[in-house]
Amino acid sequence: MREKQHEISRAYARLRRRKALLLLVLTAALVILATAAVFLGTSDIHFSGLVSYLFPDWGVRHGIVPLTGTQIVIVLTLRLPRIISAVLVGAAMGICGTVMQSTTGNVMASPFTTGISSAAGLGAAIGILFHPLGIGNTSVVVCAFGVAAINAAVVYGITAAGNLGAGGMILVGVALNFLFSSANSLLQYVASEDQLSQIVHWSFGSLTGLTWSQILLMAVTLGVAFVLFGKQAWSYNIMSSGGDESAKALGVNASRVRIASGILVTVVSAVTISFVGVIGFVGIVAPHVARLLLGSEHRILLPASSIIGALLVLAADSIGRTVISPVIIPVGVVLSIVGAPLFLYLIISRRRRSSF
Amino acid sequence: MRIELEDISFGYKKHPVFEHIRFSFDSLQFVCLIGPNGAGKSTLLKCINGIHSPTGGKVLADGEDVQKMHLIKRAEIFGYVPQFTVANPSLNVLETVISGRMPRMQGRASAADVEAAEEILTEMDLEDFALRSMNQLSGGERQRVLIARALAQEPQVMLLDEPTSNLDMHYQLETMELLEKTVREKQIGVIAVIHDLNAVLRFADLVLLLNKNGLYASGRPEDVITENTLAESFEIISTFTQAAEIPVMVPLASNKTRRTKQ
Repeated sequence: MREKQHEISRAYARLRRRKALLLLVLTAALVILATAAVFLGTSDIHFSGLVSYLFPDWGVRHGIVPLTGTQIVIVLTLRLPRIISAVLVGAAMGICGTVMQSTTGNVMASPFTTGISSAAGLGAAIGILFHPLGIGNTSVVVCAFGVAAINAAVVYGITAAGNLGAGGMILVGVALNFLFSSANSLLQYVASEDQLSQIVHWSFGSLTGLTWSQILLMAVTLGVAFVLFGKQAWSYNIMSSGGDESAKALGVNASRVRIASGILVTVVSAVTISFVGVIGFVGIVAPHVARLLLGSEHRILLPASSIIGALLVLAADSIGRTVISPVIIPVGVVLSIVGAPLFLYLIISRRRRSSF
Repeated sequence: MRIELEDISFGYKKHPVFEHIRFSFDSLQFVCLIGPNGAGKSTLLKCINGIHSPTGGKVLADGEDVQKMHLIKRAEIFGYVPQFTVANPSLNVLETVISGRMPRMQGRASAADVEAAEEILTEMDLEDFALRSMNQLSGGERQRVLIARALAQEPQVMLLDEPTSNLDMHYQLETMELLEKTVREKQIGVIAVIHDLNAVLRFADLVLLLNKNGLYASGRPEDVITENTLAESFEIISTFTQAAEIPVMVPLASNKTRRTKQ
């Protein structure tokens, strides 16, 4: 009996090590891709030039010309912010998608299931058309965040008051989604050509023009959310593998966890959307890819879906800004074009494999 | 532990499931809930562990109102095996059993929690399944894993909703023996909804028979499961015999068949 128990222990330890190793490989891939992305783009910036800039003696010895001041400005003000935001946006969408899928028991759920993307879209349209806080990006960001927050208050307020459960919450989200989309269409109908172009461009999702302060805010929000989500890993394990009644019998107040997690997802998504627009596909796909590669245990799944989300957005953005350079294809468009076939491949190949 | 059902009623709007059930019993025995479909057996089980709030009356566990207990405390007292196995069975078997430690972990599973889960898997001969995903198991295997999860909770009382319904004859018998052992050796009370009346006659210490009006009869199995009670509550004609000194119920016909023949 004791020997059999040790066998399970050893096998489980091996499985955990294998998953940790794969997580490490994914992290290394993200670091490598992020580093490579610094040197992708229309401006001719090479790794050796950067090393020569940082270590002039080494550059002189090897006869390598260091980057110019302009190139350094491009790296610091254009490429680095873009790469870091791609990583943060992808990580945020990945982890929020996982949390939404686990707490609603719906594999098609995403951070936008509760209608937040159309709410933020309406807010952005209001900002672009009426610029209540003056002409410029601030109006768009604040209005997008504000309407998204109102949407969340309505969805979670109705869900809690009516004790509607996961299914009811999704239906309330669907209803609000239609409401906000219609209001957005109405605004587009009365918008000028220039305003309409801005609204449509916003809806594509773009990583261009983010400031360091916006990036810092995204990073802090995501960091706090990451810790709080992590504390609920076992609650998510239980909620995703049984209904609310089973969770309750194990001491987990499923409706409270669902609403608290949903509000946190809303805050993270609203901050992200208000800065970069709607980048949707990754919130559904990253959790699925993470599950296919690393299983459904949330202590691993939460970081894994973040890293995979970051990888997907960063890869899509890198493709989008190099494939028909100097034209930049919006990251949301690339994600759907590249991500959908990849996702289909993973689903089909999973059927051929046994368990992980 | 003393479980007291104090005038319990439950219903959905104007449709009562059962009304005014009054009964108290020592939980450290093998208690079976029996009755025809729709009598409210599963609902009563969920009222006992506080998943459902009774529409009237209250359930007391050692004098304490279950509804007023903290969720964690309830989970420390009552383990629960649901009737329908998991909807999205995504964890592996070992992780599912570890999740049974939830009421006892402080947000994270310790080495002791993992060890407790491994021990239960070994005890239940589930070690070969340990790292298999739950969605690769048959309904019966999942049922056994969920029993293992409830055992990992180290509850004082285990509530099981039709724990043998998905199992073949071998595992039905094995599960009933396991539950009996749970009561006798682990000192954990068992309250189970069971449809197989012969298994109830063979294993139960106490039987509660529910019918459409609430609690119809209660007591020792051989006193509760009789030709008369079965005719009135299940509407069947039956007879009884003995095999290996155990009473065996033989169903002969439904009342409807008898009426048609007449």
